[in-house]
Amino acid sequence: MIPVEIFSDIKNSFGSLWKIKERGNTLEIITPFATTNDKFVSVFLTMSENSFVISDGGWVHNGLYIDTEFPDDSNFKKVLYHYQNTFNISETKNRAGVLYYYLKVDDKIDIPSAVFDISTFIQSIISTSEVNFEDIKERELKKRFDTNANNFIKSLIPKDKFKMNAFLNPDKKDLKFNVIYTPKKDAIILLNYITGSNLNHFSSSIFKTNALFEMAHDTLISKFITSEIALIDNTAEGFIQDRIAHYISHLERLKNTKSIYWSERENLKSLLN
Amino acid sequence: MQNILINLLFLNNHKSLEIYINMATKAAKSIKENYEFYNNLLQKRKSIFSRIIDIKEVGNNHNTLEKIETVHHEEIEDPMVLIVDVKLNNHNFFQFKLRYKEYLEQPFFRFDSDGETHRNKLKGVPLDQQQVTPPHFHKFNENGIEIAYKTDKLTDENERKALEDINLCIVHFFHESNLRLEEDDFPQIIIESDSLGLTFANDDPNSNVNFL
Repeated sequence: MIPVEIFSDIKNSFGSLWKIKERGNTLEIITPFATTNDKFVSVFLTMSENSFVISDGGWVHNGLYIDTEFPDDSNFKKVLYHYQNTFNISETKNRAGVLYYYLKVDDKIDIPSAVFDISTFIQSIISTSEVNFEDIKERELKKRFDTNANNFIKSLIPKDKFKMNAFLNPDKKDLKFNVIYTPKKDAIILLNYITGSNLNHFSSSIFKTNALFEMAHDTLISKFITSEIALIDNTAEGFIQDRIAHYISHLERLKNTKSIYWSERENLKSLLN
Repeated sequence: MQNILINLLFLNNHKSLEIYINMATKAAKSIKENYEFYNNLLQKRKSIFSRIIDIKEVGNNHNTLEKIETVHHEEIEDPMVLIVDVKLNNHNFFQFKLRYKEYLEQPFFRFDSDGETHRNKLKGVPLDQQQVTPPHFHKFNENGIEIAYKTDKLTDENERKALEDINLCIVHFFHESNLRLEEDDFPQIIIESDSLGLTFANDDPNSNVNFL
């Protein structure tokens, strides 16, 4: 039987982690909740006329808990909103534009519960901000194919006549293509690469290229575009021909749009010259 | 061909796994692999050349004034720097950092006058002693784990109070990291807005915020 004193030790150790620091009209409460990057969560309690505010002090967005930029990833945001909704956390901004998270209670009896909720919220989102949601396999495949394709294109066309990873309209910065080739003064050929480590990524890559080509047609520059070429990585794991064939034929329905498989890349020569 | 592809795929996954593992432990590999070098960085005499550290530019973080000074360490060629950060609206909240980017992306030694409380998650250390409130220093242990600690001066309430003065505190930081200006001298920090008679010492983060 484990002696009961051990429980007292646990309780006392936990309890002694609570600390306070007076900051003007606000009390900083250092809580026993710690994040995965080893920071103890602090919350800030202020009394106003008829209510109590318990905030994060702007620390979440002020770089106090994390050195890097606050994540913008959609997966991260799902987690953030989940916790924010669960604990009903409000937000506001200070004059400098820093986002604050807070809870407001009217009755003193609700303060401990609010401290508990906002601490759990801060602990959860700071810890989650350390998770890398990026698909590493996809990123590496894309990087590899981009490098191979770029090197191949460079061997085909003169250096001063193309731009890589460039915006069609540099001022607007919205439509970005893998290659923008200007063989003559009044002619533009657009190239985009399609790849993906699984079927989902691969089809998204097709849709993205399709949308970019379509949107290029709606610009003032469209009359100069002589052709649009999709270079398709048919060696990628996500290339499952019978599942994507209809997406590719949809892409090719656009006027002047052609697709070339990586394994048949030699055919690009005649299209670019 | 099939075999080669499978091997390549395995290698790729293995590499990814390694990245995940490194992320999970967060130990600074370069420090763990050669702790003697880290100690040398910290303990050997280092110098800066500016007699006056004039702080007026807003740094990377929009709410912080920042000044970067070159640090000379006789065995190191790559640039090492001293970063002095002061919060715009609270000049009593400052940080001194030593950074040697070629070696470690984040600062390898740091002082925080205020801010968050650190946890030294170490076996054998009682939970209540794992908690280190600011002001505190940050360094790395032999396992490449960042730990916070207080010097005797920071534990003594009177001395701690005196070290709220940035110019007294930088002397303490220089002693702790063996940094000097010329022979045995220390620089003076001037915060431009202070010399104009404007001091900002608001350490209450909830003040001037409209909580609806």
